[in-house]
Amino acid sequence: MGSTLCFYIYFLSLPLKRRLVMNYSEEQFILGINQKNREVFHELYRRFYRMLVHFAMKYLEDSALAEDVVQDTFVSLWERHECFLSYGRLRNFLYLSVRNTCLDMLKHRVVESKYSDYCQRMEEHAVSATDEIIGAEVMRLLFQTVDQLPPRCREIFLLYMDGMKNEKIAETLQLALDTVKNQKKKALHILRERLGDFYFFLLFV
Amino acid sequence: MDYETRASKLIALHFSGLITECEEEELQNLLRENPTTATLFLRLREDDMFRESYLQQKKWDVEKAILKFDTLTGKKSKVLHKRFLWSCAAAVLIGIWVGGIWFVKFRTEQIKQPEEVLLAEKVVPGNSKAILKLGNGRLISLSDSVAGVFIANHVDVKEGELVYTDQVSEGDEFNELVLPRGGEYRLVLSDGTSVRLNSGSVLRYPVSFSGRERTVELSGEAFFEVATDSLRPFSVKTDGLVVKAYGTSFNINTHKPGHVYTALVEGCVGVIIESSGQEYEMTPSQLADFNPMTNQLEICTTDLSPYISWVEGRFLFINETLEQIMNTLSLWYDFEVLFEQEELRQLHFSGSMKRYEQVDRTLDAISYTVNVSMNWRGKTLIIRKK
Repeated sequence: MGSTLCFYIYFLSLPLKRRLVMNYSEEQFILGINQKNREVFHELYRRFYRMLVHFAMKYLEDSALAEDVVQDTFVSLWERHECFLSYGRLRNFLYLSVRNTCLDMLKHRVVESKYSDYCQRMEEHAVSATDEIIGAEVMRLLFQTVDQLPPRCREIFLLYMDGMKNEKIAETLQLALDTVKNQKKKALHILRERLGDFYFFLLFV
Repeated sequence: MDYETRASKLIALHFSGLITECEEEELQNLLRENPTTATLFLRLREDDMFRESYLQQKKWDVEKAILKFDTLTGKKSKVLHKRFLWSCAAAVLIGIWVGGIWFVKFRTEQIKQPEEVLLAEKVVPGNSKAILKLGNGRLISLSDSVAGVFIANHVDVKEGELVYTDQVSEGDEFNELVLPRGGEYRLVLSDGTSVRLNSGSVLRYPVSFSGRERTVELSGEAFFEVATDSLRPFSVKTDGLVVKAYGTSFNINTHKPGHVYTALVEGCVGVIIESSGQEYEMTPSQLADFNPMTNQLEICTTDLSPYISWVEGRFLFINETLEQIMNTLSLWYDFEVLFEQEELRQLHFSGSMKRYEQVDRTLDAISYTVNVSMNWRGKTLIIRKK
């Protein structure tokens, strides 16, 4: 009986191992989340954790608290019996859960002033939940691609994104102007490849 | 694609300065229609904290969070396990009994399952399948699962591949490999030449090359890597055209009516118009476009990637008509296309996609970019104006 059991468990583990490739398609990813696959959850952490904490920080301004809120969101996602139909819905769920928890916490805080401050700020910008998600996603997509650049490219690109001109970047990093230009070109090339993957079709009229 | 995904990707492209004109136009339209997103866009544009935010978010330790997640969720399942220990034990015993039988029977299918669970929709990418027609007229259906099956002494059936070994044979036996829609297959001929056949193609070839020439006949699309043999030139006969090669790799496609495309990647080939016997020489990165109806041949140097990308598992379309794109896709995914308005056929696109991906993703992208709607009726795709 024991050997049968081992045999069985061994074969059971085979299809799971096959699934542990890091490059999931969106469908495989959603399937993994719905089936509570631990490896896929780890990947979910790698994709969203940092940006969610960053997102929560905007409300709570307390890093330990922000990390707790995000951690709780992931754990409750693990325990929920929810089936997501698409990657987009899963992503919106994550952002909205974090946002709602943060707003609840602010409401119940003794220091009410921060919440009213926040409300005021929101009114000023008239930002809806949808737009907050977009704002965070823009950053997440860019950050994720920046992560994949080689170190020197990355540094140049970060300064470029802050609106710095080539000459200024060369001066700041003490590099030749041509080096900056070349590295920037390289960075943009890599980014285009990454971001372009989301966006295949353009129209030629 | 949902609104949030679309908007965030366009804005990210805008900020990196990589946005194309069309994408920029789409972004501007989107911002015009959604004033609140426009406000957000302006706020993000004024923000010069990109570098700082990036460095700040790098401080959060993901791997530590993952460990914590594992202990948090792992503990909970242990409590659960204790509570339901006995019922679990019973379930496991039944599971072993049923599952043991099931696994021994269906092990191979089970291993493939994770990738294929969601592919169980009606229209799926093509895969390795073909029909082999032997000299005596016998038909053999080939798919991945028949690997290792014995057909004849000189043929090896591998996974998605047929390999012929060289041997002296009396008489010229010809075999034919027929690729249905949605199929692809590799073939190694007895001289070592390798051929990759695309969907909807037929290749007729001798079991072993006996004469002074190596000749095969093709209709459809195939990529050839010809084994060098300076004494016996290799020729591919198609509709009114013969392509003669000495040791080289090239792609031939006859799928588009009125065109036989020969794309030369490496080496040197001569293309011969059958009716006149005239031979033209091609050099690498050249494309020959032959019209079998008028017997006209044009050779030009061009970017060959759209003609050979299928070998690398991608579709690449550069300024192609929607009709042509749909022809290519329908052959691989095996579906029919119906244009409700004729003028839709002439819309032009460029784009690239993976061949083994679900077709719906590409269709979504197309229908989103131009104002067309695409609906399935069984295996027919109906394209109409929105």
